Amino acid sequence: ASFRSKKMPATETKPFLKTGVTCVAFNANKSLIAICPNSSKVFIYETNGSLNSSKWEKEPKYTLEEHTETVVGMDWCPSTNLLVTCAHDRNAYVWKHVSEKKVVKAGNVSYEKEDKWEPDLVILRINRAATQVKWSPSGAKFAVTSGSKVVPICYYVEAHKWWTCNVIKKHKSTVLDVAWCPNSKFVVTGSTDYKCRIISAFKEELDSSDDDGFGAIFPDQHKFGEVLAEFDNAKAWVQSVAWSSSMYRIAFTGHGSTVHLVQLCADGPPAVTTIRASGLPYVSVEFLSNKAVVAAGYDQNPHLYSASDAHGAEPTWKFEGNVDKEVKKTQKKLGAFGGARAMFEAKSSRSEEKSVSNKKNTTHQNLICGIVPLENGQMITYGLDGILAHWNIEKQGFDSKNLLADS
Amino acid sequence: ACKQSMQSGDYAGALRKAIENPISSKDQKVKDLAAKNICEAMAGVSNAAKFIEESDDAECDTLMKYTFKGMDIYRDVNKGKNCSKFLKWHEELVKKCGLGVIMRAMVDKKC
Repeated sequence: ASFRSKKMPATETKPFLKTGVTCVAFNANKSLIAICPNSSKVFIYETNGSLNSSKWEKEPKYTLEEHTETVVGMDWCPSTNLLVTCAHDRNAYVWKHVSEKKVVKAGNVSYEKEDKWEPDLVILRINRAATQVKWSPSGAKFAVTSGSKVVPICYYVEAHKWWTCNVIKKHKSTVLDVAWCPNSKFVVTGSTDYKCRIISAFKEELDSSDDDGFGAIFPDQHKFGEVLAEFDNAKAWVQSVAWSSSMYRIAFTGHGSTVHLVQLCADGPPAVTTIRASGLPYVSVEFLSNKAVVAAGYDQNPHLYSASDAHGAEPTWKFEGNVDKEVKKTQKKLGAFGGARAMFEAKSSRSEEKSVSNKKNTTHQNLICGIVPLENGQMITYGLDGILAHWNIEKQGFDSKNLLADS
Repeated sequence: ACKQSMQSGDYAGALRKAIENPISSKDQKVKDLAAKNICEAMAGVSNAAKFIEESDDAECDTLMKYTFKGMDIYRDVNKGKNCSKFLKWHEELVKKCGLGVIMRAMVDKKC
């Protein structure tokens, strides 16, 4: 047992799980949250309507056990309420919530109440681990990235009642992350071959053939698997990618502590702004609005980047600040005996000479694995320390009115 | 041109010119020669902090790459006593650019 101050810091900094949290997904109305604690199981908890993890139920409502290896990607479709998970066991499952079961007894058909999640195996045809999975905004398809250098785009075939896929190749190495364009036709992928690519995932039966203004930028936009644009600015693994809701801005991060912001232009090649960060690399990046991008990773502190305008063709991006202001936590004053005890504890458990610990003042005490963007400049970050922290950029001192504005 | 500047004692000027256009050749010999020149210039510059102040982010990345290369080249010379100059470069670069510059130096293969 460690010597702990009786006055706990803000409730949000208390870890929700004892293990790290590697994947998180909310359902449509945020009443349930699916969490993977870096294992092969997925747990769904009730949030009781709150975004503050201390108000959530401690025991999971559902446990989803089907994967045999660590689950690495999870996404919950708000329109169909289907949850898709992918894992290192080279499989992906689409989970459907079953609320009633048909019972046939002696010729009589009745319905029994049920409340569980049933998995449906997806034929991925990959021979390496999966790394990430994302539903398209339309909910009709999902993309799975894998170590097999391919990205299967999966869809449901009603006739056979199974999920099958068309595979995007074109990558020279493991694909780490994927994000969909809001029109559900394109994906942007980040790979360990140092490149970020925009690839068409157009499927004739599932997508509209409208131009959306991309006809001028990408002449091959309706050719499945065609690489529409390629960016090699990262010069390192591209660990995370994101697509803004405005359709014309993309963000990707490189393992060299860089973040790259792409503006797709109607009358020329895409323009990339490269920002060199002064800290450790980011593993997750998300758009909070067209003008605000938040990136988080090994620095344990989400960083906010902002653009000069929301829809312009030549935005200037800059580092806006740390979201976590690293407020120094109050330390209880120790008397002589308490001081000696703390010093002995520090020496025996951490082999430190001083009794004051070098614990960082950030809310997160370990790698931030991901960011869940919410509306109005809010977001939830989760990490290997088991903490799910809720942030509001307005409360953290940023000019949210400007950053979230549509101009 | 760099050699001339160095011989005249203007290590800072030589270095500035050298890192302006970082070498992107695949030929190992060319890279080795470039590295030797740059590291010589870096070892000669007296005030690393001032030089770094005047460098932009891209140049800092290049400098960090050659700091590591320099530590490698001068490892056996004079029992590694010259390495202290490169440690100073390292310290000053991190002071200005943070840990990110080390990441970029490790990750970019083209040195």
